[in-house]
Amino acid sequence: MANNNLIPSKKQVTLYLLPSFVIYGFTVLIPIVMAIYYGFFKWSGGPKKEFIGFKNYIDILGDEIFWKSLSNNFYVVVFSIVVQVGIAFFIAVLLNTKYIKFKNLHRSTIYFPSILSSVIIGFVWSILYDYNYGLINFFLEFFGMGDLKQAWLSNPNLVMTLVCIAMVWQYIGTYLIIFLAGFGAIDTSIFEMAEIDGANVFQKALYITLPMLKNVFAVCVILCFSGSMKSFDHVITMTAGGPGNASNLIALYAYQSSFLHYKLGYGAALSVAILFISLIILLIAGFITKKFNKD
Amino acid sequence: MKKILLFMALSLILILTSIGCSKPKVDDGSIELTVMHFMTEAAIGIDPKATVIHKLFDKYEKENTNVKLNMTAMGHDDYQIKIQSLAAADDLPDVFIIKGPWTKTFVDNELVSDLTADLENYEFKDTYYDKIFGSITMDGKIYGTPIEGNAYTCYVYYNKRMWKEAGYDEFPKTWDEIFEANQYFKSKKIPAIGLGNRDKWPYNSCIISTLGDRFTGSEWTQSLIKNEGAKFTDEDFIKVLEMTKKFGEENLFNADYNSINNNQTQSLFLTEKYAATIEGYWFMGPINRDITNEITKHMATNIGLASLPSPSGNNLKGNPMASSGGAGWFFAINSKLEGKKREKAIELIFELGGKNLSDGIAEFGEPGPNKSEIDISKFNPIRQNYLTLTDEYETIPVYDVWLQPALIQIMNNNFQEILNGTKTPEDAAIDMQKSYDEAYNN
Repeated sequence: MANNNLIPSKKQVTLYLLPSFVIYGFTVLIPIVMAIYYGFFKWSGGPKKEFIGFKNYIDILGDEIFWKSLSNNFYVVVFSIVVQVGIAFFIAVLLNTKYIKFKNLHRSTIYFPSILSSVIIGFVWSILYDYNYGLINFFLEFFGMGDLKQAWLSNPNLVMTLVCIAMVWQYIGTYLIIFLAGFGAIDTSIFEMAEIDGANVFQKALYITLPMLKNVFAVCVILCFSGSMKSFDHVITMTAGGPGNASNLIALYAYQSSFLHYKLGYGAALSVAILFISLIILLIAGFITKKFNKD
Repeated sequence: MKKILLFMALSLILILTSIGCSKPKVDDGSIELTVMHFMTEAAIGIDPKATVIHKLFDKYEKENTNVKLNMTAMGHDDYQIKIQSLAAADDLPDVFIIKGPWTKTFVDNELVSDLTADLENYEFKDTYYDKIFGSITMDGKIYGTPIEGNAYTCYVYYNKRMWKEAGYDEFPKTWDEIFEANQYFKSKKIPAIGLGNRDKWPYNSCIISTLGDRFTGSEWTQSLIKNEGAKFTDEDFIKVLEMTKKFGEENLFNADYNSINNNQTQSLFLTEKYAATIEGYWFMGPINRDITNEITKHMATNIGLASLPSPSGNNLKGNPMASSGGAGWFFAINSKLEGKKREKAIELIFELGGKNLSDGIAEFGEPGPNKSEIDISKFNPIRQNYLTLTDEYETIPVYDVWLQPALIQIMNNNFQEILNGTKTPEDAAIDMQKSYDEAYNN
């Protein structure tokens, strides 16, 4: 190549990007395009499809289970953002104070659930909630509160919260790591100066860490949001969406429509709906963060 | 920039197309059949069907040295998802198992081969039980060979000692007596009936299909299946749902019936945590395995089987000795098979879903799709009880074998909600009828 500067030529860049582009295209882009395409068909599975235009999408709007699932999804989103990110931040602050011993042990222990498969987490928590052998009921009995014993996951009013607790428990570690990395990036001299000025732990967290970690928070919220919108595995292992549809989520409902009701076109349309709703909310979130950062 | 995009797009297309076209062709007279099923090796020795079918595979391969069977086996639930996906991609194996309710979809999509003429040529065709091809028949054509007999999905398995202590020498015949006995069991803190309905199908398959028939009679069910006027909102069916509500209100089941599955219920019943449980024929396998086990061996003389109790008085419209059942699973072959390959596949599925299978499982005391001699006396008391009861049973349809899958899901959710007290029987009936109309009258 005649031009021998440090910036690679366009051809080289293309070549370097090609493998990941192909993989991404094959596993993400093409399926999305196909899902949008299939969403226009009445398709029970097989070579025969009947084109029905926007009927699937219109049906979704009138589908009670869809709305129920969507509201459950939002519940997961809010719960995760508030509790998951909140607790992770709180622990990160604690781990950064000098009062905590064995920091590495704490960090590894808290991170540990994140490396397990969600299916395992689902089963572990199902056992905790179990009526006959569950730890929760065992302790209730042990402390003489046997009247409070119940089949936890069968209670339609509690089931979403209980499932969310399992999800939150699993991923706190992930957000903790992100926050700790964020903390590392803050210049320690700022804290030292604050200490000289007599700021306590709480004040340092509120007036220094929090504003300095604005961007880290934004990343966590977006990760948390996208993770919660597609959550599926915890619910299918713990409740399969029940009792009734009390803990159904859109991803699970799309799966049920496709593989249990044999309405593959409708299932595809539901997945497209998740995509669009998530995109819209992320756009709004992006807009808000931008505004927020300007101020 | 445009060139780069074009280059990327072209390479993507190239790679994708090259993935699709690499089928090696061998032409030396040998035939390879791809077979997919859910008879895993882990089930050999526990499930008579799996045990016999594996033997028949071996036998077939020995007798047909020019045929190579390329088999894939997986768990029952995984199998259902897998085969659906393969059907959607039009990439089904040559020989596979299909479920009665899928027949319409598979036939509409021309995925399965019509076997009506092949059945005519089968030497043991007269030994098949009546109506055994019921759920695999579409417009008078047959699309599969059954791998089970009139498999009944509703047996009450009860703990004889517990019911004796409650004052019943045999299992009560009416629900009134059951509710009375339930008072006693509640005082002992033992659930009268164990149910594991987390996966939502057990209540439908094992209880309500039969319970429904007791209240509505078989004509109503037939009318519902054939779309001849019966409605979920009919008075008799509302009574079924009201009974369901009563089950919930009276705490007849274990408190966690919505959060455990039926396998857990089986273990809990065998370890005497429940006074009874209502399960299908498939529970006999685990019972047989566990009564040789140190912890549960005393159950060998403690388990009784009975027919589902009936409503009293005028409410009883069905036969109290009927149970939901019928063959639900069948071996089918890919509609694309032709010539010699099809011939060999046909031989295979009649081997796996015919007289040889029936004779094989009869040895284990399990009735098959064909009439075979079973010597009752050589089995243990539970198996004898099972076989006598099975012999007395009249077959009525299982809702979730005969009705459309989308409707079944709605029914199952509604049953959970009625049991839970979050929905009234009337609202549930309206919801189910709405879904029925969408599935059948659209």
